[in-house]
Amino acid sequence: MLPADISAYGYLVDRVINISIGGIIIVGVISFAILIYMLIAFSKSKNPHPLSEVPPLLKKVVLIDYVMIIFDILLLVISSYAWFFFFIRPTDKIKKEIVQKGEDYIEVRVIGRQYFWTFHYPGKDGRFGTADDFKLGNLMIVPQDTNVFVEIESKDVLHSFFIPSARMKYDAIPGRKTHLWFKLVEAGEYEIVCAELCGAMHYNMKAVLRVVPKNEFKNWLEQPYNFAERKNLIQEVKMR
Amino acid sequence: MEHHEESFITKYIFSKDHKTIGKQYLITGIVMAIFGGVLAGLFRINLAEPGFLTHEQYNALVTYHGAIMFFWVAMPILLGGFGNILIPLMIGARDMAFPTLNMISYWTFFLSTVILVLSMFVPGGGFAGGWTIYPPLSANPQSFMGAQLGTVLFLLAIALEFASMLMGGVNFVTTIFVMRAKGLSFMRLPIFIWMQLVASALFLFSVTPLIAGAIMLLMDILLGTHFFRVEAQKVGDPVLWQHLFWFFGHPEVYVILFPALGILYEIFTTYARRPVFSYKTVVYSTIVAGVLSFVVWAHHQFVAGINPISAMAFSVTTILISIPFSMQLVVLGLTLAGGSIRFTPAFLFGVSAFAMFIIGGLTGLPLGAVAADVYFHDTYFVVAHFHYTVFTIAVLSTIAGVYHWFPKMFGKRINDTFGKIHAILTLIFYNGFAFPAFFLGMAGHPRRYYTALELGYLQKYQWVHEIMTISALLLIITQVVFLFVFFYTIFAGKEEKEPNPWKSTTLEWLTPSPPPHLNWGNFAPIVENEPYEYAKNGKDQDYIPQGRLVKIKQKEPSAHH
Ligand code: HEM
Ligand SMILES: [Cu+2]
Ligand SMILES: [Cu+2]
Repeated sequence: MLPADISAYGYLVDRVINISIGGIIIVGVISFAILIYMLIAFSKSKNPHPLSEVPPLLKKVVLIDYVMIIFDILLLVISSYAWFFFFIRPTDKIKKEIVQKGEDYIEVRVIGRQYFWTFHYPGKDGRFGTADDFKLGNLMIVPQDTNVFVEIESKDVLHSFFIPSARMKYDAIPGRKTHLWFKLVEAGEYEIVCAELCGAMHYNMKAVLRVVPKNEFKNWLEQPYNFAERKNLIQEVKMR
Repeated sequence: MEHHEESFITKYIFSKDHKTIGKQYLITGIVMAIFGGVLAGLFRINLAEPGFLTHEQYNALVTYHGAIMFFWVAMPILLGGFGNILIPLMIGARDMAFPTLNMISYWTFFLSTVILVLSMFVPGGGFAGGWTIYPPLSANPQSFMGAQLGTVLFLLAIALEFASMLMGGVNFVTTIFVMRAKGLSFMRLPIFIWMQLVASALFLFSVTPLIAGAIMLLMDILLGTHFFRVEAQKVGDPVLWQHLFWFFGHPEVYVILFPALGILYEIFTTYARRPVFSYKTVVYSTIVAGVLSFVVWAHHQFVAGINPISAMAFSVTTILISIPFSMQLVVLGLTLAGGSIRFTPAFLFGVSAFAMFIIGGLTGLPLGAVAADVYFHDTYFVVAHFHYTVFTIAVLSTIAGVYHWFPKMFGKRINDTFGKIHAILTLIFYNGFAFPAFFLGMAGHPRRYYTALELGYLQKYQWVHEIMTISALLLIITQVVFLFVFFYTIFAGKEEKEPNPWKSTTLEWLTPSPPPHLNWGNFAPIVENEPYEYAKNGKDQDYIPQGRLVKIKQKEPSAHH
């Protein structure tokens, strides 16, 4: 049921999801089996008088508590590992590692407003605050196999920047900057949605995520002012 | 016995009798439950057939639904209703410690209900910022069509509701501490009483920061301050509200969970004819869970800009708190082991509630594991998870309690066959509307969405929404029928003269049904036994009541005359 994972590291999140859901299904099925057994075996028709002692085998059911403790610890370890990987390591360190590995990265600033997303790009020189910076409305274009660092901000109320296919989400908060980092490996078009109630059109605050091959991205940077596309997108949003 | 002449007004309206006040709370809560359910029905129709409501209406209905179910259904029924009716009866007291305060508590609550309902219909519409009232959305009135009056009234209603529950909480704690019958030590209290005690304590300790927060929020709205609002140079902190809200909000979940579990312990022991599997485990794990509930709040904010290291710490405490709860559920389940179960309506509702708590509890783990919550946060997975807990609390457990104590409260008995059909239909339709939400959440469906049809990756799941809506409507119809049967039985149902129809052990079953004013007449209960002495071999009956009534010599001492 999870949408296909398009990211390089989303599997870390999926692993936590799969283990936690798998584990609770097992514990749940066992608990339900025991419950149904007891309801049948100890119904008044089967067992007209209550026993004065709990049958010894059933006393062993308390082992579920120990199973849960072990399961909890396992879950915490894999979950904390993934969390550490994405969110605790300082961005500088991640960037350094990326450069050492010979990989590329780009930076994008995301701004949430009722009810649209704007994406600020540093342009060809890779630096914000220079003349070649540009913006896109409700469209995020990122190169394939490249690390993307996003800085998220809101200009009005809370929003939440959510890319289901990349297993990534973080709130957009007025007055603060928050951060996400991911690397997408599957080219194609995907959806970015808002996951924090932001008003009447919250359900419609969505953007297109376009993952393109690296060279295509480079070519596009040469000619970034695809102005028509940008204007249409923003106007479309305003009209809704 | 001295006879008190009481007018209709002092007997049924401005009554100080804990039983009457309890019934007032119970009935107001049940009516509000139907109201909150109908709101859910309306926005569920919109999810199946988008366009049925406007966007603003959708958000407002979701907001009122959530707030009503917590503050005007779960709390008044479980604490105000069952708490008021049962605490004095179960501990052998004649009334609450502060009967006048109790009366004021109900009427404050009633006023809050009126204001809440009014706030939906004022010009500009009701408040539509979600039951969590997150600023800046909630603090910037222009954010949702200038619904400022609605917002202010909504906050006022919540403040009054808290005030009324605070009066109740003080009353409950005092009553349990000082008015227990002779011989009723703490470790002999029925578990329901323990649960009410811990729940009241949690409420008293957790609500203060939220009241402070609510005042700041009102100042932001009315006086233009910037506690939570952000405007050009003036930067408030919206995340601060989330801390204040969830510092209250998480314990609040246990404030309603504990009394619901308390009901289940009474029901499981009575109908399985077995003592609680381990009384001490229940008491201690409840206290431990209660204390831990104060250090898990930020699991609602993992991706809301809090320090990632503290997010990890909150993940640990959250997973940790599952341990006392798994202990509780194991003890509750094993109470059936070796029993001789009577499948009454109360038991059917009780055991459904138990089963659903297993689902609700287990599905908290993927949410508490911080890395998985990055994906699940604010999706339908959360909606599914909390309906498996709060619906179970507010509907299944409370209805179980209604069937169980109905004869005691009204001296009448709801038809058994109706009760059984009611239980089975409720369980089916409940799962029909709540379970599919897990799949929607897995698919990445955000919550509080007017429709999923705008998102390409969700369009293929529209049929799931349709099934959920049909199930929800059938569920609501079932409960409306129950409401009629409930009132019909009060006025014209079959009499139940036997004071102890279920052969239960606790003190409330010693007095006639319904109990007289001041509960025990010319007698006083004294406690000689443990609360759940079932399955006693070698006796002529299979149970020993917790206490007995002894005649008192003097004129009956009165609680408040
Ligand atoms: C008739 C039965 C019920 C139905 C059909 C129902 C349905 C729903 C649905 C579909 C939502 C999510 C709406 C959205 O995110 O767009 C929701 C939210 C909610 N429900 Fe229920 N529900 C029912 C009963 C209850 C009960 C008994 C409680 C108990 C306390 C409850 C508490 C909540 C809360 C707190 C929310 C969150 C509101 C918010 O997002 O601000 N619901 N309900
Ligand atoms: Cu939004
Ligand atoms: Cu919580």
